[in-house]
Amino acid sequence: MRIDDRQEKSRNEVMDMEPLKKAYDNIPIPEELKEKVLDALKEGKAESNMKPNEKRGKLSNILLRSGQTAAAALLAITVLANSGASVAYAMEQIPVIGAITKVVTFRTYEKKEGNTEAKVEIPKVEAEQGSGYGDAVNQVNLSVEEYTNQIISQFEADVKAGGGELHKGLYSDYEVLTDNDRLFTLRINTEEVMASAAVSVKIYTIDKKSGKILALKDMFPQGTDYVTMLSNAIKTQMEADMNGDSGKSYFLNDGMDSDFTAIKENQNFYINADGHLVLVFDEYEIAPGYMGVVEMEVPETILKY
Amino acid sequence: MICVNMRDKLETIILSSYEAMYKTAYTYMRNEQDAMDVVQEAVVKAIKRIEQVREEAFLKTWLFRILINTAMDELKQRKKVLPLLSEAEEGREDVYEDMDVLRLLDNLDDTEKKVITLRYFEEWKIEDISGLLEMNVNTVKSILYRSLKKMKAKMVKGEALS
Repeated sequence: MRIDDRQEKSRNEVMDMEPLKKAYDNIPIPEELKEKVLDALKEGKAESNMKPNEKRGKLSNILLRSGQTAAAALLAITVLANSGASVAYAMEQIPVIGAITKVVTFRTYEKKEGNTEAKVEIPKVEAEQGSGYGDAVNQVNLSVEEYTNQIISQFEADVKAGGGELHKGLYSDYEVLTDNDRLFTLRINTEEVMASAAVSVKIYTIDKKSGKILALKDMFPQGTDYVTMLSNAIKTQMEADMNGDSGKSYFLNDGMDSDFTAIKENQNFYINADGHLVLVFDEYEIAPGYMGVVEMEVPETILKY
Repeated sequence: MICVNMRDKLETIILSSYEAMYKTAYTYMRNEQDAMDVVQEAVVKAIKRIEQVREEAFLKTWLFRILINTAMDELKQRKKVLPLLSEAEEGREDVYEDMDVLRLLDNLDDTEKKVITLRYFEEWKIEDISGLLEMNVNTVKSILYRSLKKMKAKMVKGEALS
């Protein structure tokens, strides 16, 4: 068939889904399927009757993996410490700071009422005496407290508004992501379990010495078109991922409104243990839901001038 | 923590739609054993996580979202575990006379495949699909349109269904 004919054919022919539908309908159902489904129902019930503590670890793993049913708000606080810069420009401006610090659970909020449950651990960063960054640590602590208070009061408001009908879980804990001579990053993982929700991310980066919250633009010399620069880097990365065998997909070049065009001026970011800039995108922001929250490391090369 | 009422409703839905669940899983897994495993795993997960569902109307879309995610996770996992065994992986595909037809779905990305499967095979309403994908209705429509165009192009090119 000539190319022209093909094009003609594809234009004129209405897509006939019948053969596909038939192939689908005819998929043979194995005899033992029903029995297996009944077994699974039993197993599910047995496991959900376990104590909350037993199932919690497993549950949250699944939730975090599938990323679609858990609304995990994530709060990472990055404190920049001294020495060896690889986020080149920003480091020049950040003064030398002493060693860090320990993190303790300041208090735990726990509540169980009807079909709702909450457990929120509120961390507190403690600076060594005379370390010279007490103000920044106080800022972090205030910020953490403000954030956790906010999610707790939201939870309490929801419980109140929902009467006895609400099904909701709120779990929050923390971890030290990075702790080397230069960087200290505290990350707070908040998992909000509801019927249908999207994962959103919240990250603060704080300059300990100046006590100022660092914006993405502060990582670059004034006047740099960092939005274009980073957006291009992200697009390149997306293309590489999608061409590869990773099973990843993004909203890119689909010719749709949802296509990625550029990062936000104040896109969430943090600096990882290798000292690289990592941009963080909410679920659905640049990729289909199964990708969850997308974190992309920016190649060091684009940060050099 | 568990609302027995809602769980009973979920159970009813599972019992009335497990064949549909199996077929949907089969379009991903392409063999009987894996498709059954995926259905089982999805049922266990759904029962355990029933607290997440607040409204009965969401139960079915939520169940199918878990199902499809379980299938995709399983495929992803397999890619990681069996990179050297791609031949064996091929061999895991059942012999099924209409498999060629189902392979047309391979030309679609994950979202497109979900839309086509649910719309044309399971005959879902666009609104329900938009609920499952957490996308708005117009986005789903444009994905549907795009997927059809892709498949049509493929069919014409490959004469797959002649």
